[in-house]
Amino acid sequence: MYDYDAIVVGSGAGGGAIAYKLAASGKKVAIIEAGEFYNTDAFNRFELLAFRRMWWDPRWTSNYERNGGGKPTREIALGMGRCVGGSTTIFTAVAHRAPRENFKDWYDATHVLNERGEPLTYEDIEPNYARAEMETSVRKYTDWDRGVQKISAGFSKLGLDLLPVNAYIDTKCDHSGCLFGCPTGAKKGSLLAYVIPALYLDANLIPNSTVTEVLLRPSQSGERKVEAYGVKFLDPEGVEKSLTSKIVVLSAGALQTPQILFASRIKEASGFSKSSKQIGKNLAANTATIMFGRFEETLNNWELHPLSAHLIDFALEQNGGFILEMSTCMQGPLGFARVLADEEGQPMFGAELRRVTKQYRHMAGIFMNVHDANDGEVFLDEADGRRCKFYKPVTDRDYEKIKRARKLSAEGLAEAGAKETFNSGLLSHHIQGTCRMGEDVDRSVVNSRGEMHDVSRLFVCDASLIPSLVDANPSLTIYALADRIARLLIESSPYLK
Amino acid sequence: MDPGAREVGAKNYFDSELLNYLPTQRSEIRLTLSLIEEEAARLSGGSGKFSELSEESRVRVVKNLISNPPTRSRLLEIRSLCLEGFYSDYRDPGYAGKSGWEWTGYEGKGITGLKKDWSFLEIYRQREGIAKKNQEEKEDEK
Repeated sequence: MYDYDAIVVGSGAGGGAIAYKLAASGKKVAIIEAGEFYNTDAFNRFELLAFRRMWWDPRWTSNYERNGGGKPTREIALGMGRCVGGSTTIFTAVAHRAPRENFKDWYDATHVLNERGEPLTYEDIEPNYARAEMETSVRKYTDWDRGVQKISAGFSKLGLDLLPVNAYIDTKCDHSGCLFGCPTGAKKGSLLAYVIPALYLDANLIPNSTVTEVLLRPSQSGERKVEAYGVKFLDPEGVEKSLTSKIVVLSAGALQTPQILFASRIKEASGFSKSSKQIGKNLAANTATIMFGRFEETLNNWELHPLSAHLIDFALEQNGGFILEMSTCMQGPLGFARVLADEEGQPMFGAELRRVTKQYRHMAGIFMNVHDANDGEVFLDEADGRRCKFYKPVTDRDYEKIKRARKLSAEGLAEAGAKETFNSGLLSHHIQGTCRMGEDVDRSVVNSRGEMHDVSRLFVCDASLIPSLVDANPSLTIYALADRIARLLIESSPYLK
Repeated sequence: MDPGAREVGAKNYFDSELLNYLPTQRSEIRLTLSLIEEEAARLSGGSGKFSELSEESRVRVVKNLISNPPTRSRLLEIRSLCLEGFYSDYRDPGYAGKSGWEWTGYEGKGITGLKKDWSFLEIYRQREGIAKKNQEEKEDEK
């Protein structure tokens, strides 16, 4: 009757993991991925080639439009992967659990419940974290490069201790280049940890194919008005095709998943329910920026995994609301030159750019992630009617945090011996929250099990789910949520019986 | 001598990459390049070409366009292509000097081992030949 038990749209942290777990339980699974399949042999250092192959086209917030026009200031570059493995193919592999306090925030935001109907806690999700860490080879990364060692010494003088990060890297990395795909296979993203194993379990990967809408029909169970029964997509030749399934799982990322829901006219199908009006809203960006220090010594800071230490003393909102990760030099002079900007985000040009980049071997930088609010949005471009735009205000409060993070970074770098410092613009690789999970239908799109409030058999399983920003790189939390949703589907859902 | 974008051949890299763009994207890049010239002319108060402006003025031209929402993203892309043409290990066939990577002292694993089709460079050689022939004909006429 159906082509598949489950169609999973997207193969990143959420999609790869849930596809693997469903396939491992004997379900017939298809993974439809908008990007191309590349294995580790295809990863190289042509940065723009890598960007075109494996990243979504450059996407920026359009805050100036919402702010009444004018010049684009405080705009954020939104970076996400568009290839098999999604953003985990091109991320820097930092693997941390969300702090315990974040789960209380989740309940406050949307009333996320566990299986017993109580507020979801860290303890509820701890087994999911543990399983994901085992499957993705997480270990404490103590192989610090010269840059980290120097910066660590600098922060020690300020009375602050850097800690080694946990990373999805099971062997010592000797190549760097994570942002363009790990050429050695040391990094265990979704591609190596889940997608390829899923293929060995007879899952069907359909790459280079863009899902245009979810197929909906009147619900046969009566619990909700409508139910999903498959997807429509464009194959690599641009031919429209359909496949049917018992359940559909949207794991296309926090920017793409709401766009698929808009195109599927969920709002209209649900009679413009409160929950459907939350689609695309509540976007958090974990806005980031980088500060590079120039040292007298030659550091050659590209030789190891780029982010191997962090300072988490200020992670929680009440403590400052930012995390520092170090050390980065953007993995090559090209990436370094590309991100250099002034404090306001205007790119560096000309002789100054040349002067700074000539010093590349002496650079070590600090990556700053800021705890910002879930106050952004993915919204339809009214002029276009199909394409979406992105809004994520960098409020004065957020900007204060950025300034504090920059000040502390500058102090740490100076104590470490840096002679000058340089900034990048604002960027985000941790977009989350655009289809939040929870039981409060006024403030969430899917329930605590990942199923849409308004549509049966339609699940979301990616960073969109996260009800309020997590104070850690979000990928491990997405893996853990995928594990949780997969287990609930396998163990207790009537759909896959 | 320190190499620059001209020596390394960043212009040819830029052109070769444009071949991979969709026609509509190529048109947008060309349009943005023409806007750079327009802005250069506006700033110089006449017919000044971008390449003939002072460094300070050139930076002003591109910063003006980057601050303008409709041209921002294409300008950033042009910047990225220019940077990749120089701050990588790209060098024109026939150029034996230092690449951008070598100039910075970067010793990462090379990227130009990747097979690429540089046959388009023949077009430049042909154009140079035609230009030379035209010049000779003009001089003969004189």
